[in-house]
Amino acid sequence: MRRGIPLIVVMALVMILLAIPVVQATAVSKVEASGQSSSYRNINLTWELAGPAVEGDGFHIMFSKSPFANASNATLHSTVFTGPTTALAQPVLGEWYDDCQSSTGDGDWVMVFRGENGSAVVPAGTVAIQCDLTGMPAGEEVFLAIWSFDSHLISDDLSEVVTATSTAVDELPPDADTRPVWFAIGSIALSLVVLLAVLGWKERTAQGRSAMLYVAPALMALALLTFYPVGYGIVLSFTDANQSALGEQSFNGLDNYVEVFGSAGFLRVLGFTLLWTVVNVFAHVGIGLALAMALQGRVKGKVAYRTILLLPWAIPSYITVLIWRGIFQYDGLFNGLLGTQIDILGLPVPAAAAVIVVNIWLGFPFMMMVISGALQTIPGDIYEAAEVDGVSTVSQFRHLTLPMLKPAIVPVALLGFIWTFNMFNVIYLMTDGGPNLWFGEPGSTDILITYVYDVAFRRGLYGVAAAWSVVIFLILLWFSATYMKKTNATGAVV
Amino acid sequence: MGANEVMAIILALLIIIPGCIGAGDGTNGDGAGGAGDGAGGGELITLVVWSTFEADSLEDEVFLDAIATFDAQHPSIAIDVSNRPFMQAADSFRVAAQGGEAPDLMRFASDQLGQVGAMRVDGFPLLEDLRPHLTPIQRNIYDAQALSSMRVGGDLLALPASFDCVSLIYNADIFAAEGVEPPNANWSWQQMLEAADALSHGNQVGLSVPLKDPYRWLAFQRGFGGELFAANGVPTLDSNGSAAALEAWLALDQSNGGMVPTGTSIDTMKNHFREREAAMIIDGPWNWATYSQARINVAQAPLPMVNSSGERISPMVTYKGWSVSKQSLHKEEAVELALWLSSPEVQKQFALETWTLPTAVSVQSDSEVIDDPVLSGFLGQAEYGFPAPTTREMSMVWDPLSAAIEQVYAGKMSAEEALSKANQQLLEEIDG
Repeated sequence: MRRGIPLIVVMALVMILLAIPVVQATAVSKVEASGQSSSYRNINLTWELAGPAVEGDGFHIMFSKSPFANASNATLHSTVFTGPTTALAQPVLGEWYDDCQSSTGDGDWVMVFRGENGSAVVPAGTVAIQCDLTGMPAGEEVFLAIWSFDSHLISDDLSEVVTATSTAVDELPPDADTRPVWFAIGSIALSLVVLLAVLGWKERTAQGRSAMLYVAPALMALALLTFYPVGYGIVLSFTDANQSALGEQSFNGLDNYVEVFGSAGFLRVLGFTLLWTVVNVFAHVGIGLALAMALQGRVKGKVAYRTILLLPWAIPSYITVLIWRGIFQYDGLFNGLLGTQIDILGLPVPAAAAVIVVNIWLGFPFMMMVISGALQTIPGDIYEAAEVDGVSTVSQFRHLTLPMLKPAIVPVALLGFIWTFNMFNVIYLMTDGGPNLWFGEPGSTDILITYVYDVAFRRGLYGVAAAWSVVIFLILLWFSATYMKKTNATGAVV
Repeated sequence: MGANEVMAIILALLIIIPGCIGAGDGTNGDGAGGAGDGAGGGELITLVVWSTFEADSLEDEVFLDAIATFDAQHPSIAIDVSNRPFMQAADSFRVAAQGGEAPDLMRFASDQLGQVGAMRVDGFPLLEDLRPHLTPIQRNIYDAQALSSMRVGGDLLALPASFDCVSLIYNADIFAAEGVEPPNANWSWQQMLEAADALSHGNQVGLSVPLKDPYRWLAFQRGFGGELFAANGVPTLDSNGSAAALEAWLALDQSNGGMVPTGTSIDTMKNHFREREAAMIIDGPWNWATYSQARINVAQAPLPMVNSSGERISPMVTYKGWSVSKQSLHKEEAVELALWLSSPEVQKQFALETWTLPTAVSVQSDSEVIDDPVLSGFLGQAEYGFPAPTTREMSMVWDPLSAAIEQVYAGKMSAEEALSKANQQLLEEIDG
């Protein structure tokens, strides 16, 4: 009994093995490969079978950069199965660039069907298959073979190994054509050279001619770094340039300016920009003047005070702004100290006040230093004379100090106006222009320059952003010209 | 001519001459792209990679390990890695590409790909279509949805390396200490609010979420029966249930009588949880390491069901993948690196060390991944989610939606009116 059991098992196994039909994969009789495809990294492989494929046949496509005699030395590219195709779909031609077609010998090539995981399935009776192989090395010889297997996934021998080289080259975008840029810069530079030459020629003295020569390098740098970008911005403002199709822009006349001036938020953002600028400049000058005056006399520890007061200016502004942002958070220091519950950065008016406070903090030390310097230049004896004459301190400030400071304050206030008008990082880092209560318009704390950033880099409308920039430029130009005319701001330096 | 004049001339020439040398005919440069030196004939190839992982984070560490492994296996390829903040990375890439200075490789999220994929410079796209570069076997590494999320207009613009979504994250110790039943997969929104209410006292809040974050609100919109886009791709911000979703969402704010601290931003939510001041938050797996390092007993549960709609709160699932610049001079090598960075080996390492959700089919079914409660929890949550559409329209959603949330929050518009206006604005922007 104990000896009989193994015999029965052996007999059963023999019966099972005999019951399994002996199936061999249909042999591959011919393989051809061509790398002349127009597609990059693509090789076309065709193989013919010794007879019609039967259900269960499969063909592994193997490849390698070096010759191989057995499949373990090659990489599997993909597999084509033979089976029923009725429930399967044929893919769209070119869907993945790895199209396969099969033929039953009637001369027609039919797109293969695809299984759930994308594997190719051909019907029984197929005698030839061709596939576009993706992912082939470009410009290098590749060795390819078919490794067929039968319905029991028992692999047969490899077919002959053929070679091909994918010849299509990578299509690279052209280098940016910089000729118009250089032509424009060259033209500006040449014009300046001619201008200087003419002026130098007209100049009668050798000293005057030398002056022209000294000015030349600075003018060239200005041409390169300022005149050209401004000019390009003006040109861009008359085009429909946008991020989706850069380099294909065309002139669209005044459309961008119509959009700017017709924008529902134009007056609001302009109004807040002016409020932001005026409040900041007045505060900078006022606080700077007050502190400079306070530190003017014999104050103990003057140097230490000055150093401390310079800190807001000396620390990188983005660090200062981020600290302030933390202070103004709902659960930040501000509400904590005052015991209030104001969502400062989440509400329009408190957020506007917060960004202004932060910019005042950042700006007053510079004014203080400039005014301190100017105060040093006022001779002390005029104050002594005033005191002898019985002039009060307030009158001394009003009639002596302020007029003497004017040559310093007026140009530096103009500079402050331009800087503040174009101050980007405080608002960008504090509120990012928000809270944004309007659809497609500037946020509550956006100023012109931060909104231009949104238009250019978030919405990608370069032409419209250039038009906004030209408007800003014209506003500043008009203001500067008027201010200088009224105050003789640059009188001291001209 | 004196020495001063000579010096002035020399200075002027120093400025002008380099410009003239560079002028050329515009075709003499080193070709497009910032890929570095030319290659061929055994020369060293340099691949420029922009990483968007937070510097010195666990993800950054694993990423740099993967780069080092590739580097060691490819002595002819040098890799120049630099970090870019995730939120600004797409803009930086676009600007660089428009100037012909794009990196060879960069990681994009599926909701960014639609916009970048639609861009053209001189008629050329910014990203390489990777379909011709992959064999079917390489393609089959990734699950079908992940691969589909990397396609724009048919082009495959990235190899999916990870995906993520938000879920309900809670401090198990707070629940245990207060004897409140912790969240479970069958929780309803009402049950969640009741638990949050029971856990709100003193400095502790039951629930902390950034209510002005449109990304998190989108999950809520789904839960109330709304949807972001209709099946035909038309925006439906104001679809059925959306207004109710926005009203219920903003009602959570303390200033509206809710329990979420007013002004909670993403940073404050993280701080609340890290400081053990919040019992529950809605966040993704990307911050799990941060919370674990704070020695918090972190746990996760799927977002709850909404009783009124019978729908589950359904987060947007975003895929992230490696793209190759169209301008790259070394595309084959760049694709090889992209394949490595999104390979099952690297994905598994990311999954086990940083709880990054894998897109490789073999890693998703790996026993180590399945046995990890965090990974399996988030994989389960993602099954209730919806994939972020990889379209240009998707990248345009955020501004109008943020404005709508602000309007309702400020009490200036009803939710219905605000969402209707946001949808109208979105339609106008899509039409250009």
